[in-house]
Amino acid sequence: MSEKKDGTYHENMKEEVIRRACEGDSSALGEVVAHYQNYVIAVIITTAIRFGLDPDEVPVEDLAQIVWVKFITKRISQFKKLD
Amino acid sequence: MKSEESFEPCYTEGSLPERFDSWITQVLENLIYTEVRSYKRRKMRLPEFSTENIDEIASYDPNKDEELKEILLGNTPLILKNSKLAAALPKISPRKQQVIEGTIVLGIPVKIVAETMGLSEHIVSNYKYLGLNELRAIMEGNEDE
Repeated sequence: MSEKKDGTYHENMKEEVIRRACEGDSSALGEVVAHYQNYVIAVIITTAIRFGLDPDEVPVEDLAQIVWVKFITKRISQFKKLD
Repeated sequence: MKSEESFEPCYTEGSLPERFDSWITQVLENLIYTEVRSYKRRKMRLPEFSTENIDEIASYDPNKDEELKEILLGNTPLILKNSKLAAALPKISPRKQQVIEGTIVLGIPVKIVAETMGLSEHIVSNYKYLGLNELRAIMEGNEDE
């Protein structure tokens, strides 16, 4: 468990799921995406506001999809090296 | 009374899930920053476009002063605004005309144009490149080059 800024806690992902996701297991990757999807959407909206964009006009879902594709294809394997 | 062990957190600091959580949030934030920034750049580059603009571009007004030239490139009739281009196109070799007709005017992939003409893709690409260069030279008035 880890503490968020608002004082609440969220469950971390299970070790086994993380390891399977790093190996490219699609169901584990699906769990990772589901776990962090709300976080991604929230960060997209706050980043859009920081860039002076109207969050209602920003295609949040499309950007989230691009972010996940890049994460899965390029980044997830990097964690395996760091581990 | 429960034993002391049962009150321990599931994951201690520095465990794999903790490290993964802090790593993934940082990576996602960086990716999102890049994507939102490029989205903003794309949006700024796109001009404001209304349906009125589209009508203006799409419609041809016969009363306008622009003189249109009609030529036949291979088997495709073309109506061109640019008189220099209309004059230059028939001057290049028939093979280059065919390649430009297929790949640029009709938008057919090079592979299919090559199969239709019985040539290799490489040769078709060469004809296209040379044809465009020749056209450019003729239009700029350097026909001898």
